[in-house]
Amino acid sequence: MRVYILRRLFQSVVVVLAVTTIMFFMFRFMPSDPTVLMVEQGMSDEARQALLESWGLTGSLWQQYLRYMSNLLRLDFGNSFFYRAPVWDILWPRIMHTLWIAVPGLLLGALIGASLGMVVGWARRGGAVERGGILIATIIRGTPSFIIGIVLLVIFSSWLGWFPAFGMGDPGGAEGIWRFLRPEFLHHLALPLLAVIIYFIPENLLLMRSGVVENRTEDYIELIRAKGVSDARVAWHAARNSMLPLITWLFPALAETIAGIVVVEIVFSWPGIGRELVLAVTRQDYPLAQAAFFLLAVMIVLANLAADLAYGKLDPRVVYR
Amino acid sequence: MKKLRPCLAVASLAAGLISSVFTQDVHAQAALGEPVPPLSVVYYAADMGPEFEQSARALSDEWRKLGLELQMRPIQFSTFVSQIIVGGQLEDIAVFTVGGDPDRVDPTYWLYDIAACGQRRNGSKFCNQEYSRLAAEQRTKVNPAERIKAVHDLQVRFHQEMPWWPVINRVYGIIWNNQKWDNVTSPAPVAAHESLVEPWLTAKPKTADRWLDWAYFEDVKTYNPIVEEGAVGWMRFVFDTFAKNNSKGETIPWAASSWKFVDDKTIEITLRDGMTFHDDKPVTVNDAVFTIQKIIEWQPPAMSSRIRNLASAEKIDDKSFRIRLKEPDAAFEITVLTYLFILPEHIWRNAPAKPTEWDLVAAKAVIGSGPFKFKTWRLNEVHELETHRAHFQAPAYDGIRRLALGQADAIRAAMLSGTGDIATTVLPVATMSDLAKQNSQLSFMEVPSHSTMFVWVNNQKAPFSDRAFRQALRIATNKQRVMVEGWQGFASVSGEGNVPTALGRWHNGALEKIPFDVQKARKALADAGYGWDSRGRLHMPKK
Repeated sequence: MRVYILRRLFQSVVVVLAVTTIMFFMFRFMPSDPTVLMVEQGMSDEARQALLESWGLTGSLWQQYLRYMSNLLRLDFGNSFFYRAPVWDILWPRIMHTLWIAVPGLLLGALIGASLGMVVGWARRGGAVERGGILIATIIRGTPSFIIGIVLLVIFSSWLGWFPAFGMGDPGGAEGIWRFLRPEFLHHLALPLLAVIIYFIPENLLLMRSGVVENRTEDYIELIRAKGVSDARVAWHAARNSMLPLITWLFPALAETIAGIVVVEIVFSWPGIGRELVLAVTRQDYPLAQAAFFLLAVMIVLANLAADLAYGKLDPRVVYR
Repeated sequence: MKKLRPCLAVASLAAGLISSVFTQDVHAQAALGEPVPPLSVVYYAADMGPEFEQSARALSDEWRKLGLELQMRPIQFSTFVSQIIVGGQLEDIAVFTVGGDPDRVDPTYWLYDIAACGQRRNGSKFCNQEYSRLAAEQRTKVNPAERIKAVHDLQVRFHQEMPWWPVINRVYGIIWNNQKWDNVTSPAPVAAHESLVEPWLTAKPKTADRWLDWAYFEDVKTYNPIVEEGAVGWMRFVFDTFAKNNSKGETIPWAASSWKFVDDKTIEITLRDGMTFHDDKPVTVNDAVFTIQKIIEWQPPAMSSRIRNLASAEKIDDKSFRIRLKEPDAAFEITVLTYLFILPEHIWRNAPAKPTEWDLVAAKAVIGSGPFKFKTWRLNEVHELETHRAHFQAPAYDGIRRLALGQADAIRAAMLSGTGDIATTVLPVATMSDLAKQNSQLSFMEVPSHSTMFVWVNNQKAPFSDRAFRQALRIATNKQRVMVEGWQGFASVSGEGNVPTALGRWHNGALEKIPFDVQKARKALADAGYGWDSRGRLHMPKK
């Protein structure tokens, strides 16, 4: 097991390095020049050169790469071209903002989806509940998250006026950590959170349904039923044993959620890491974009590793060598 | 055999006809030069809005009537700027706009920066040595009458050469909540861009909500004025400049109550009385001199184009100081005096070794003398500036907020819900107009500007290197159609020459008007030796 973990850690490091290297060169091979938009175009050549030096964009590509990687090893992500401030100072609050949507959205989507999946999986095979449940789950699963977000905006914000259409709070609202404890914040959180929950329900529903359908024919279910336990209790036993795929799905799903939540953040103007990443790419703010991609790569790689290890713990039949 | 003869006769006749046509074609072709190759028309891609493709197509439709084969190529904005505008990679034709930026109120941008030999922004590669010399020289004529004459003469030369030409001038828009705000004025006829912030100083609240909420796309980048290249706008709410360009295109006193050129390289400036910084300390001549001396010493890259001609600053007395320039600069008032700000010496003398990296917000050092003072900043969400009551032009409300909403739909929603009080360049003008028509609580005004859509051609490549060809292409440019189809009427047909009409006295209104006329353009080409083959394709003159 120890050998397995070490091997996986080594592989993770290689993956992260590869992603970082690809991102580094990809930005530099893009056809436009980041200084053109950042820098006032009447700038003298000396001034422009001074700015390029301060941004680490002078020297050969390999020199820039080695400089970047040595800074990265010290977790120095550099300064944002656009904000002229340390990248970490800009990204850290945004990661927190994204987690407000991603974590509860994922967990609630998993919980609700799993519950519905249990009902659908235990229902009569071929019946209206099973067919209807699968149909609705498939439709929602095939709908892009931004469409879900826009539909919610149209109904609940535009038509009904129940929720605000954008932002994390009212313009003149509270500051600091206390703002997250106020009803105004929850009011703004409601729609983007609901969009994420709806997006995750179908996958969990179908996963759980598959597991329940498979387990309901197992011998132990027959034994439990023979003991005279209620049908609901029998269903619960089947569901419990169907949860393994869901639990292992949760870890990488969290990392992928943070990466994929960008469209939700843009639709709702939520100031999270996804929206900041898109802005950084369009502005060719290399340091910010590279740091964001680096963090996402680390999260996804670690989450996958955690999923593999959790699976081994949860299922004694699985042995790692 | 009897049936065969008529068939043979018809076949012979047909062959003869075809042969004669072919022979004529060959003879006609022999009188023509090489066919004009397919030409690319590049323009901003859809990320900048549909206006650019629509305008490029409207123009290309008419140009095709000259027998040209055109290939449409949209290019993403930042790539367009770096490759076409400053990168020298224009292949054939470019259709694009430049914004109505504050610096472009001075004619130097239009005459020199984008038209003189070797200039980085001269993407059309036009190079006439005499023109370039005169274009550089006009900036040294500090006498206004002399300079105006020189600027007008340059436009005549340019008009004769026709290396590129303007098509339309953009109209910006402002939309605001009329239930909550009154007296929102227009910065027309010269919109100093930067999201048109100046007129808001006159706005008056009509309700108990005395905070003006500005719905905008993105956040402020920094509060360090020496790294901000923008000349007006949000930063100048906090840090006063010595002068401002007003809606009539005049440079008016602001933090400076007056100034005069004592010779063509020396300006004496008198500071306005009674100004204070946001920490209630008085603004003095020492602060002004300190600021300029430090800027000369630090040479911040973002300010380089405006400060490179500054030689020194020195105090005269408690009310006035002197700025010395390295070279005469007639544009000093318009582009430098309206840009230079005043920093508090008592704070900035403690600036770190690298002042361009100083985080003023973290250091609680965002102290200026402007009409607003810094209050809070939630990055990429909202900014708050509180009114500086002691300012000589303090607004009649409590403060201003900038909402970084990230996209047009959120801005529209903010205006409809009342969360946003005013929106400017971030929504398409037609959209703003429609919103105001459909919602009585919103008012809209058009703001004409000097922002210009150009047709650039590659002056170093045939056929564009031929002046006759360029002039014919200009005659076949349908400006009216672009205004209607490309901009839905929210634009004005541009005048002739390279200086926009919105710049008032700088524009030479006596230039010969060139009406749109495709037949006349074809005739001009024919007179220049161009011709068309039987398929209507344009050919170069025979060598």
